[in-house]
Amino acid sequence: MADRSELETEIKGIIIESLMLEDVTPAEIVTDDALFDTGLGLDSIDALELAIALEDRFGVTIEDDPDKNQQIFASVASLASFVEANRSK
Amino acid sequence: MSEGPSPTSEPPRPFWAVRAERGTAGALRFVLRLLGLLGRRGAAIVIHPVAFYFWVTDRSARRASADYLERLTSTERGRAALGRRPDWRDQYRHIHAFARAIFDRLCVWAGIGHLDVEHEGTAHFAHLPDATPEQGGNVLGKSGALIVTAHAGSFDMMRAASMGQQVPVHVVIYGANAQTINGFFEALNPELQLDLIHVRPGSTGAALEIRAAIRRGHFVAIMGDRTGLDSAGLRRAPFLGKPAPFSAGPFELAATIGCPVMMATTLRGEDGRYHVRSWPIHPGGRVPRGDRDRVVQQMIERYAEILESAVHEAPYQWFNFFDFWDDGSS
Repeated sequence: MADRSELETEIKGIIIESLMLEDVTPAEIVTDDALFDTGLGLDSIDALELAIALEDRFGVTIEDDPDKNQQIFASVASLASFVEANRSK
Repeated sequence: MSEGPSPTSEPPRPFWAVRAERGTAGALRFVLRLLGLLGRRGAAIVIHPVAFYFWVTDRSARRASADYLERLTSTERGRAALGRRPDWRDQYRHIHAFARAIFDRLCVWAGIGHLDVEHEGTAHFAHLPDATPEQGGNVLGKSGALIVTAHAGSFDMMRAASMGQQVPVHVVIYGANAQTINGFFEALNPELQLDLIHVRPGSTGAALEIRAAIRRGHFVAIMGDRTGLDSAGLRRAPFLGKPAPFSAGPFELAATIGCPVMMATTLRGEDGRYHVRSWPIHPGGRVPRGDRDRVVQQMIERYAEILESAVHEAPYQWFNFFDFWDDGSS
């Protein structure tokens, strides 16, 4: 599962970079923690920012289905699963 | 650069939003029955008593009105707009204009009397960028846009006017308001609910939904004078002679998506007709991160400038009945 943890670390890096979380290191983001509601406390524009960064990097397409997005953006782990299943680069 | 309330704090609520919980739905139902009995012209007799009731009982609305009128007339253009020093009669007229707007809104959604609307500035839509192939675009072949509106005039009339038009308009609404007066109106006309995009605290989806709609070539309308999306912070821009805080959220969003931004108002003319008017704020194109602060600030200043001219044109149709210049930091 080396690939998987590499991917998770890369996604953490993208989160930090795209949201300009200067004081956070990848190690500080817990893979299974909630990114939105409590965890990092990200909001809707942050989610968009992150979506664009993930689309650019992995060639995935993030649609506007609210339920599906709630699932995708739940945690780093769920983001990684989504990227794994849908990436084109 | 951003200032203002924390992401969890509630936006300031207009007096009617609070009122709505105290039985406005009942009052609206009463007016609705009256409309059924007397028709639009006949039922309009309730507007004065309703305005008088609020004017007498709602001290905070009266004070907010007085403060606003004071500020408006602190500049020469504002004094010219009102034509005299404001007194209690202007406060009454201000509250009356608001009651009138709600009444008209009720008529339109209940389908009583027709809506007399004039569109101005639609030529600006011709200047929107052409849709790219992957965007799809709308029937005009143009890209979608974010339309930032304000609590000046009747935003709802714009919604009414846009129904049946060729380009779908989605409306962004905020949790707190949805349960109150808007909920009542939407129940009157279920078709209205179709195009709503809800913003809820902690929800991830709203910005993505907005992007998707704009990509389909639709318009998305959002308030820019401080309601919701405020977790992106407030930015000050000169407004009626003093810097006032505005929501950065809609503009941050547009800069992130890279979509064109328009400003639109719907003011009621002396003749009872509603005038939907629009202006370009930003041509679109993704704004690089490092430049975003500056571009967002520019957009907000332009927005405030247009809003100011709308308020000068229709001084009594400013429907923010709270201390607009206070950003909660003092």
